[in-house]
Amino acid sequence: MLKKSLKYFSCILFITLSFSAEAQQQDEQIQAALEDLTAENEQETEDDEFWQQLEYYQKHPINLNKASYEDLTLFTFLNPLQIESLLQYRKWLGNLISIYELQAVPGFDVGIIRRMLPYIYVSDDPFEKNYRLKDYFQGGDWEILFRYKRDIEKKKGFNQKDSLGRTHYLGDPNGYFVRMRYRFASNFSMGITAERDAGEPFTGYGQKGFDFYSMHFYLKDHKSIRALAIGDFRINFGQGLINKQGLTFGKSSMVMNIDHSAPVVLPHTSAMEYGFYRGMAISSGKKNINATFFISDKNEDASLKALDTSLNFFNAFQASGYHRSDGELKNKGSVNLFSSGGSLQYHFNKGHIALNAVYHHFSDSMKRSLPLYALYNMEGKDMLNISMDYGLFLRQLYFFGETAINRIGAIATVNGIIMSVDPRVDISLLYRNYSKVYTSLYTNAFGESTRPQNENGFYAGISFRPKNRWQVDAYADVFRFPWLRYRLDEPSEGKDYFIQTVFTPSKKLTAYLRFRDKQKSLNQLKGEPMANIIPTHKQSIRFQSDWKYSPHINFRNVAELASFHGGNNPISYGYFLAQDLIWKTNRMFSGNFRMAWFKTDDYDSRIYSFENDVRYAYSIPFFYGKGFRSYANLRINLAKKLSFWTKLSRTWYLNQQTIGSGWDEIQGNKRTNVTLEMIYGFR
Amino acid sequence: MKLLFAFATALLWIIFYIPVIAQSAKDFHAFGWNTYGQFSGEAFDVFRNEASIANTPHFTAGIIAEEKFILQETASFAFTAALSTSSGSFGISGRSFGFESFRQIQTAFIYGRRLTDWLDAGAAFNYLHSSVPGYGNAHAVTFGIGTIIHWNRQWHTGLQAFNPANVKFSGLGDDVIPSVYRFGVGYQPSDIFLLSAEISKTGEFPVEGTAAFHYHIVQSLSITVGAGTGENNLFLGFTIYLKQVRILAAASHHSRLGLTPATGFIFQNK
Repeated sequence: MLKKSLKYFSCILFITLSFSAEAQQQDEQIQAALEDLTAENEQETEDDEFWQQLEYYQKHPINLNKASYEDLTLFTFLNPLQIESLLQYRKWLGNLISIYELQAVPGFDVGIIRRMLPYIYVSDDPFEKNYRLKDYFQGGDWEILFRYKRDIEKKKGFNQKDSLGRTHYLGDPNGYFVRMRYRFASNFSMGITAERDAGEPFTGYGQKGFDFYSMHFYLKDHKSIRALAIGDFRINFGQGLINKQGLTFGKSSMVMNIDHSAPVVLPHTSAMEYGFYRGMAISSGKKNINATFFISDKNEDASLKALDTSLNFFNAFQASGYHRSDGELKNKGSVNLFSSGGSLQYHFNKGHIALNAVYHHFSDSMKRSLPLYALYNMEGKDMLNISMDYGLFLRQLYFFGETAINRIGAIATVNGIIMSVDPRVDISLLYRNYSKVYTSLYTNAFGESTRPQNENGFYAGISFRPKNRWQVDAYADVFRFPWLRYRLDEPSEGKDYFIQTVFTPSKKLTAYLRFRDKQKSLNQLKGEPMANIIPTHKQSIRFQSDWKYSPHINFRNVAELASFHGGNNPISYGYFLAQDLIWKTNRMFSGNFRMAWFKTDDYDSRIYSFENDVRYAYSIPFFYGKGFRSYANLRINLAKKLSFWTKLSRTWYLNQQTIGSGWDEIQGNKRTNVTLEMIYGFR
Repeated sequence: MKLLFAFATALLWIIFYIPVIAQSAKDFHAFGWNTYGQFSGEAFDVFRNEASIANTPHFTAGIIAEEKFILQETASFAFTAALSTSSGSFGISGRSFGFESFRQIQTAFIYGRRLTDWLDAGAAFNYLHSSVPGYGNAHAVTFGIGTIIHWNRQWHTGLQAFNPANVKFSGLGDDVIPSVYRFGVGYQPSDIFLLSAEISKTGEFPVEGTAAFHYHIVQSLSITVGAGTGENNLFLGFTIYLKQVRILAAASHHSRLGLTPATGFIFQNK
């Protein structure tokens, strides 16, 4: 076994060292934010729209003299005050003459400008084309993406057969993802997406080809149409109290990133099978008024149960998107969901105010599940949420918020301030109060949990640069859950503290140290009928450095220590060490390689770590137990328009003979994944 | 001369008449954060560090009141006055906590001065009195010391020790007066913003960390916001500046017991 492992390791090393590499260098802060998001939700997201946008702007930078507020919100490292400052600067002093002029814009420093550089350019060409509708169809970029994924070691669901001779997972272990997309700047996009997860059957069992198909047509800023979406799309109202779809970062090292507002209508282009609408949305306006309306009809997965012979009900929608077994296939699209809603926005010189509403109708009744913590969950066939949101710039302050009400009168409110108190210091404050009776669908507001229900709390964050090469980001969040929660049988409270110091002594070296301390309560089941509530305390400290050894070689070191303490139980510890090598030889090849070691005492002290992947993808596996992890990424530009990506990864567990549980259990101590991707781009 | 006379009268009044007190590190959360900065010293900075009196303007005095968790029986009052002279700054303070059936009072005489361009030092002599009608009274005399180092215009650190000798009350069961140790850091990048962080240890309680910022939104209004690791973990305060008078309003939030409102005013003659 050791021999085999060494062979595998040598193979990865050879591939990496021979061919190359440039890392798919994603922003460190975004990576950390995604880790936090995954740890909080305990699952990874397939939403890659954010990466698509960033990669697109890397290829086709935005002209800062034309960029709108909405365009600039994509850059998560810019806070609303900085965006507004740039727009005001442009308004009062005219277009920027060069990128260097950004240094004169209040709120912009060298660090921010450096991070923006890959995505922007400055042009003051008065003859720069104002595009017409027909240009959208001619001058854009096509991209066809094909991705293949497979776990080499077979899971139990692929091996164990039932009495009919069928395996539990009805399809083979290969996963496929295909996307064809055409886009013209941020103004126009259309495309088709198809996906089949490993284990999902291609044919038979009611399946016809891929398990998931999605299509979109999206037009933005054409005459009085601010946005038009046909097919699959996403809607974002206010701060996410009544509707927010797509990737949203929660509490993270981006401590100023607490304003959850986003463009109202966006296309849905990823393989996520939940959290979008299917139908039509239009946003139109003149001068200061903007009106949005959408209508959608789609089927969602749910486990239907019979109340009597004529009446079915379900407890909740299933968001995983897996349809691998009889049970999962039976739930596929079993509940019809009709949704409609709208928004009326009024923009004034220093901000905006909006009134929003969303209505949902289910074909079958939703009934809360039996546990007491679900007592106030949604029930019935109809759901209505109405909200008012605002944003107001006042000197160096930005006030924002949203207050929502549902059909039974329960209220949720979130209000915040972002302050630029000094050129070196920014501060963010946020208060939220979500009633335990406030129910909603497709929401994602700021908080300890993404759904705005049963929580109140106060958040304070600060980002300051005491010296040119130093940056400190910190936040404190105290929160309370007035009602019970999953795995928590009493009202409770918690605290979350975070501090990160980033040191950039030169262009070649960046190092950061981050510390997080989280206190919460949790049930402890020890065979008694009633759970014992214990306070838990999780702390983690991470050091990471990125060293640009030469124009071709980068090294990254990661060291993390985590501890978990619950009640009177002994403290458990987790350790994680990783060494990345990122190598770029020429334009044809790029890639990266990681070797990591981990050891944790238990599941509670597990550690999440961001991993680079093929284009538009990333993975954030978590580690517990004891073992090694290694992966290699490789990109080959086979031709000008054709590129090939691959990722090969393996985890070796030193102290266990099976990996995973249930139908995903793997016999043995190794887990290997392979991903291949081909991208063909043309005009 | 007039000021000196007023100061002496106030001193006598405090010592002999006002029911003052209670050195509790857990009072008046939103006040005294100027200790770790270059803002002109405010009257209540001395509650956080005795050395801050060295930074006082010509004369300052203030009074403040808070009602813990909005319960009358847990009301606190405090008074301070400080006068800057060529021989250093002299001050008095008084604090009172409780109600007619249980009251704690503390009076203090404070002295501090700037020893060098970068070092302030101060000390306070405290008289503490605790009374429970029908049971008796308890007394104690103790002291507190503090230093503040101004590393440069932006960075400041302070250290305070109150009752380091572990003096106990005499009478009423020899109650312990908790020792308080504080270490704080202030970062003041401009004239309108101060960021402070402090760790403190009070008696047998666990170490607590607190961070706060003080920001002048406009010339006549400032805001103080802070959060701490203890139970009383959030506070918010506003100060309105009206020529020589400052009006204070604040509230702190205890995660289980709720809100504590506070209000006060400061007179300052520069």
